[in-house]
Amino acid sequence: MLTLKSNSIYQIGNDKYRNIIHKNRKKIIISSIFLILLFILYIILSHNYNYYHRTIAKVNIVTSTYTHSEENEFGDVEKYYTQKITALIMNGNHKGKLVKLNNTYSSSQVYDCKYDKGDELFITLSNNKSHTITATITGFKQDKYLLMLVSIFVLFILLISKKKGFFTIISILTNILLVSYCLDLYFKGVDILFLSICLVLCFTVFSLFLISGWNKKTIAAILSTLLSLSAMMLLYYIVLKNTSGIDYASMEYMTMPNDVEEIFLSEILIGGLGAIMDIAITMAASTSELVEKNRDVQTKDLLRSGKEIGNDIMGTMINVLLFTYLSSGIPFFILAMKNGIHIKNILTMYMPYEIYRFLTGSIGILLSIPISIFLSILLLRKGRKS
Amino acid sequence: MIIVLLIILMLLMFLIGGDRGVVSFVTLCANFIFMLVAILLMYWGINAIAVTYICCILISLVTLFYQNGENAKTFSAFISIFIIITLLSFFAYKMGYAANLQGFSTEKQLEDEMSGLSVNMNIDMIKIAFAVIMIGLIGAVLDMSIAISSSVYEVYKNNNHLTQKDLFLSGINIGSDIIGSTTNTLFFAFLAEFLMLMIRFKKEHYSFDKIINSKAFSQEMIPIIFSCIGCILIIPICSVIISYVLTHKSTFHKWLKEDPIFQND
Repeated sequence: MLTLKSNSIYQIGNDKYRNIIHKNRKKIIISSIFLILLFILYIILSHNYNYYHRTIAKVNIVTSTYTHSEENEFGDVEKYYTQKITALIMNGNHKGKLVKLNNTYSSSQVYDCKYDKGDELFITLSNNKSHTITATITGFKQDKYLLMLVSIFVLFILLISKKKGFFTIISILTNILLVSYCLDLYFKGVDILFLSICLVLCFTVFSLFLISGWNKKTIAAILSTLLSLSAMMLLYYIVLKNTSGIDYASMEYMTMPNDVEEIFLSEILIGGLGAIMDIAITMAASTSELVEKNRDVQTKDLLRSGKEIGNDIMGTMINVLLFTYLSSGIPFFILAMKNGIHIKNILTMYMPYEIYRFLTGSIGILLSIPISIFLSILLLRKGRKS
Repeated sequence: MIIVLLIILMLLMFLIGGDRGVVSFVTLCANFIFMLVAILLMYWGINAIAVTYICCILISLVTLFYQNGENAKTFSAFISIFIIITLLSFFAYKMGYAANLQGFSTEKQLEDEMSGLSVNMNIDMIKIAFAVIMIGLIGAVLDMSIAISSSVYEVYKNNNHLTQKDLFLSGINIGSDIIGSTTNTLFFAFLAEFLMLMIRFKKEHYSFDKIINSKAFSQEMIPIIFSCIGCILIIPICSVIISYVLTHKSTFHKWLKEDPIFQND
């Protein structure tokens, strides 16, 4: 009797769970398939040694010994160490053999790295006939960390935003393909500024279309993005031509000095795009929401509510740009300060490019607020009357 | 030229935003100063992890409570940011350490501006790499959290019979709507910073595997992905907190006396 009762209770509980599972069966199946796929992908790609032509070795044993100290002019003492590494070769002709490697690092690790057990390194084997294999370290295998983060990002965005997350990923992938295609064209001799303008047109139409579908709202957002972007570039160009201009000499990763000005203009153009698109779609969406909710809404009210929303998002959007652009300069800032360079000189001479990008992008955000309010009201209200 | 652009920015903020523009400008300056002070403290050798953590919290406090007022929206946004920062700092440090994000890449090392700079400075660059990731993501996460909590707040104001679950779902829904444009903002900012490096990679005929294993690429890419992950994770966290706060008014009454919704009780 007792067993029967407990059995039935068990059954009721079971039914409840079964119901929940049944209701969300599709979701559960889809997300578990994704999880399994990502896991398999991760396993394959984190054991991708045979794909590489360069020899990879996995660190087995490390011993670090202190060698000496150096001091800079301000009395900071830097300790230097050497590492004796025994590593297992993971691919190529010597697969499975052990190799001895040497590495030096200093306590700050500014240019050098301290390696730990389990790290994977790219090595170049030196061609000698003796029994023990010797080699030098040429790089650190970083791909699995990138891959892990990208997988986590994809997984989370699909789990939380589902269909919209999927569209976001599609839009990013397409944008990456477009960029690499344009880079190919650039190396065939097409002007970079012309290419970036084409890119921006494609990005705007494609991304906004994927984010909010094909409707009047999207058209209003596309038009206001393009108009605001042109206004921003015009303003930037006027300032550039009427002041002392920019000295591109210490620009990061510069290779071709002849068209560096065009490259920087393209960077400013693309950098401003994301934030301006964000403002344009927010404005268009909220205006269309208001027009739909209340068909007799006055233009004055629309203007006021647009201004309200603009004021709400202005500050946080500019903050996004501030931190996204300037945070990458922190390591150089500290290194330069430790070498006795004044803060003002660091900001204006060594890393002004991030500041130009940030300031121009913020000006773009501010310009796009009134422009997208007016355009959305114009387009969406006109559509209501006809 | 920086000065001219700065003046234009200031004028536009005052013209378009009015009083709110002034508040936003003050917040912006405060955030910039927080960042500079954080850099100075790291330069003096104070533990960069603690400095970054406190800097992030100060930035969120000022941005939320000074710029957007003291109410249920900013209160919930702050709690969710606190959770996100605490959660992500652990992973950010682990990632910075494991993926060797510290210091400068070999490409950067050969630049003119780097020559002649002494590296004997006795500062742990792994912790600085952590600071880059965390300070880079705080802006975007703040933007997301305030957007979600104020939208849910508006939904509640218009229908205050909604249950906690309804509010939570509407938060997730709103978050899904805006995550696309937020990732776009981050993606294009990343692309702008990265254009020169890509041209260089292409010019020097880097193969695909060399690009994805280079420090220059990872140092740009990993902070941006961290920002994106932070922006996604804050959607459920912020939705849970704002829906809990709005449906348990008596519990939070003492902290939210300024808020009009809480005054009616």
